[in-house]
Amino acid sequence: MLNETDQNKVRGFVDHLFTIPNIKNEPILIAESLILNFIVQNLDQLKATFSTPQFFPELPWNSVLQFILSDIYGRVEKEISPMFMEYINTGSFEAINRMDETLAFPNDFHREKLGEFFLSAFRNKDYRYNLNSVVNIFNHGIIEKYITEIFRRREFLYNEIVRVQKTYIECEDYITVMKVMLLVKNAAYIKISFPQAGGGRYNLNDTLRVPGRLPKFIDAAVSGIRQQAPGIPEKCVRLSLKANLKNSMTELEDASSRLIYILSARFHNYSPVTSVDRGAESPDKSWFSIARKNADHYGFDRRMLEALYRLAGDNNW
Amino acid sequence: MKQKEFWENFIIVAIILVIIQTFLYELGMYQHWSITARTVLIFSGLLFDIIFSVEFVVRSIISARKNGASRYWLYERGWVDFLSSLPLLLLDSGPTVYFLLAGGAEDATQAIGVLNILKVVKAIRVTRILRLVRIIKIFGKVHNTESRMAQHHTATIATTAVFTVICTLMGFALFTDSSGTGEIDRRMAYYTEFFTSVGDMKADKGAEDWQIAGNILRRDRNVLELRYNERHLFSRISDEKLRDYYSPDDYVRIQAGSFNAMISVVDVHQRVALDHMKNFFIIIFIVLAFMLVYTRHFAQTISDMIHIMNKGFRKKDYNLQVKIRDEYIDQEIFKLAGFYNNAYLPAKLKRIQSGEEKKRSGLSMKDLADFQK
Repeated sequence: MLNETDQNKVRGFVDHLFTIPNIKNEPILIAESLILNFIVQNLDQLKATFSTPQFFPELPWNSVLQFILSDIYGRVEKEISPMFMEYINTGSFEAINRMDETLAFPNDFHREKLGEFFLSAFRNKDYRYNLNSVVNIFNHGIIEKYITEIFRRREFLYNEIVRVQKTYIECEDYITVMKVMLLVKNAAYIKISFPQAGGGRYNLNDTLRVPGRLPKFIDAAVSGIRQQAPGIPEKCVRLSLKANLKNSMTELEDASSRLIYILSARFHNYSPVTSVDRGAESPDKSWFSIARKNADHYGFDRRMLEALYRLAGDNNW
Repeated sequence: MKQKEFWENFIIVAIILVIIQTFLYELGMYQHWSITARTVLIFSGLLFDIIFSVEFVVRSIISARKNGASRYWLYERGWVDFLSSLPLLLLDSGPTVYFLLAGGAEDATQAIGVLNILKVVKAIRVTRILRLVRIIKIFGKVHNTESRMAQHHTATIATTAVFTVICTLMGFALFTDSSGTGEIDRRMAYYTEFFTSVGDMKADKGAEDWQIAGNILRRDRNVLELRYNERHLFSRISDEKLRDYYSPDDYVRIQAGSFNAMISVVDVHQRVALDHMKNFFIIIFIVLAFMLVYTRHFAQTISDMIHIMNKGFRKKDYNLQVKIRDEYIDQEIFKLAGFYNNAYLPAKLKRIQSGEEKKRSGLSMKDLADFQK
């Protein structure tokens, strides 16, 4: 264990990392992933560097590394977690019961289990990977904005996410379900073990490298998540996990997964544009239009992009 | 820098004031304002011409030292500054004030002489309105501060249009009686002929020629005063009004036989002033149309597109597409914008997201070097 003085010294080092020009302008989750990548890639060099007089020659390397990782997580947790927890602790989640007629959990139960699930998942760095898009979507009310408009227009996107997907719920309920899906989505990156994995622990990225293993992984992940959060219907969890997959890997009725996949990509690196230059298309319209050209490369549903492009254009988003 | 800014603002204010002064001068002539008011406007015109002449000379010297005079003369519209300064000072306001200070042209012969000298000068005075072109610089800044191209092209086309109109007006001024001197000549000839023929009428009417002339001309509003030898036949206006409202330029004196008449030419000046005001407003509206309509059109169809593409090429995080209207889709700039939208931006985003950029923006061991320094 490091004493108070040593801790302050290491904290000063982490402060320094977060103020490096390439880091300080990034959102904290991206900054964290950059720093962690850097540490993993330069472990040996860091060990040698930290033993020089300029750094921490008198401190044990493992303790320093442990404290650095813990301090970085503390900063991320302090900045990100409260926003999600406030949503979970104040939200109304009875809507998700309507996805499965056999479920009738009270709101408090949903809050409690969802909160436990989120806090547990958030501790895992793989869950935090790509979570920045979810943070942006929550912070900027993206789901509310888009789902409300999709339900108002009742065009292609509505048909896809309601009729084709057979999720016959109202607009407000759909917003809740989509937000819960966003909270669950990144659990696909947490490494889990499952019978067909041969004793190893794998996440979605690992699984995708082995043909034919995906369905088993999804089943196992759904099961694992539902043990932690039994209030969330299986269909909802399955759609959430599939929201990390390319269009070609989803089924026809996984419409909300494909929509979340697109929205996550759109809002991963996002900063609201305060004023659009005269003669330029609006930010979302521009993004969806460009994404149409790269749809196959990134695995976006081209028809959804077309619909989102029109929707964003009509609303000057 | 602040001093330069001060002088630029000073010139902008001077441009606005000289436009007002030009209009008031013509309005004063048309409404036949008092001599005092018109004299103030004449002197203020001289002052502005001096200011713009000094500005032109200073700019020429500075440009000659910096980039060579030709750049200022050809590309920064130095020729406009020239035409709207020195010629006006030397041919218009300068001589006008000189004659005013010299006591005016009291007799008819002198008045005609002065008018003849000013005949060409008055035609050139139309170029005063070229100063309006400078307003484009002000409005250009308000419309699109980043587009120097829009400002430049709008100013060029506005200058071309205005200068074409002015050349046409000057051509007409040189070959027609736009300054009214011919009309004044004809009027003088008419009254001289009239006084000569009155003698012939004397026998028919059985009355003295001064009685006949007096009876006829009393109803003629152009005749301000009529004398016959030492006899004062009538005055249409009081001495006070004559002193306050009639400068030597506003009337002509005709001596024919024993008759001496003061003939007003105010109506001629009013017609000329009305023509000038008409020309003034034509040019004002041409400039306004270019500033408000064409600048907007240029921005929407040219400079905005280039501005957006330029930002997209240079800034990693700028990925907004160019808005392409269907009606312009076959134009070169929109074809380029189409390529930018459909090929460049998708490729750019693909490249960024493929991680190349991420690798560059990551950390390196060098970043740790300045810890605790």
